[in-house]
Amino acid sequence: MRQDYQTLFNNLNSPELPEGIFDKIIRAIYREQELHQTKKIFFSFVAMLVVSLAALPFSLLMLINQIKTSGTYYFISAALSDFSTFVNLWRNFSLAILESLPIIGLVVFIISLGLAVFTLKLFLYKKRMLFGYLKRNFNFA
Amino acid sequence: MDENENNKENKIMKLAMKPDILKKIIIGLVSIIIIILIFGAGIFIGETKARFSYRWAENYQRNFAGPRGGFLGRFPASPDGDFIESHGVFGQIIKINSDLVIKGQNNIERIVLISTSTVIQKARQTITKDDLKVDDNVTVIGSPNDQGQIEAKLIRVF
Repeated sequence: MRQDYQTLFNNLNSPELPEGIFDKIIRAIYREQELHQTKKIFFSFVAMLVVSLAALPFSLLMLINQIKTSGTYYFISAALSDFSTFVNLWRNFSLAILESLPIIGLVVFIISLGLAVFTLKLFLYKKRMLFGYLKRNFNFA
Repeated sequence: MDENENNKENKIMKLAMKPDILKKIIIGLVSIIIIILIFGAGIFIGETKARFSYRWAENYQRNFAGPRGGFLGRFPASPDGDFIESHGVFGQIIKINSDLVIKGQNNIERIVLISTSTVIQKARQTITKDDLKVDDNVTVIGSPNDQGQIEAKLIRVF
């Protein structure tokens, strides 16, 4: 066993760091962070797109069906068919329509519509980032 | 002490005068007001429907001459756990007396009272009560009374 192991490396020249290595490391870290964020946004976008595409037509059909069965459609149609009567009886008309509103269908539709709008907004704001990610990772032309 | 308070006030004023913060405060306040209005309207509508449903169930025997579900049936209650609309009904006329009995949503019978001021319309024409027939599909707009009936203001035949 060597006895001078404590001083073994003392005489070695310390290696010179290549120029600009620090900037390169920082840039690499930044790029990695950006990629991680893009990946997160991409998968959130795909998940929201799938959910909103599936939920929107379903919730719209549910709302239309509920509007027909709850009587809202008939009350609105009666209000529109004679405007002067509607003006005279606006309070009763309003209460009849409000009472018959299909609240659950309406809430479900508004939530899925909001989700679809948010997904569209995300796509419009981040489309360059999303397409860039697709190009890099899935050879998407 | 006064200087400190003045500084604080100035800071608050400066913060409030920033257009972004002011805009956010206004949007927040308007949103809260809208939420309160919708909530209030929901409570009002719910109360009206609950009151009418209670009166409808209370007066079922008197209005329809027998308990809901037959004489051996259950005690009259709100149908299917849901409250009944009190300001309008749409459905089929099943009986015409001095008033109308309409089979509405979920097969619930509703008594519709007709007065001299009730407007009865078919398409663009105004018709009379005598022109109404059993099995006609109608939409009624009116207001509820204490006996769980609807005092019709407009009857529209489809």
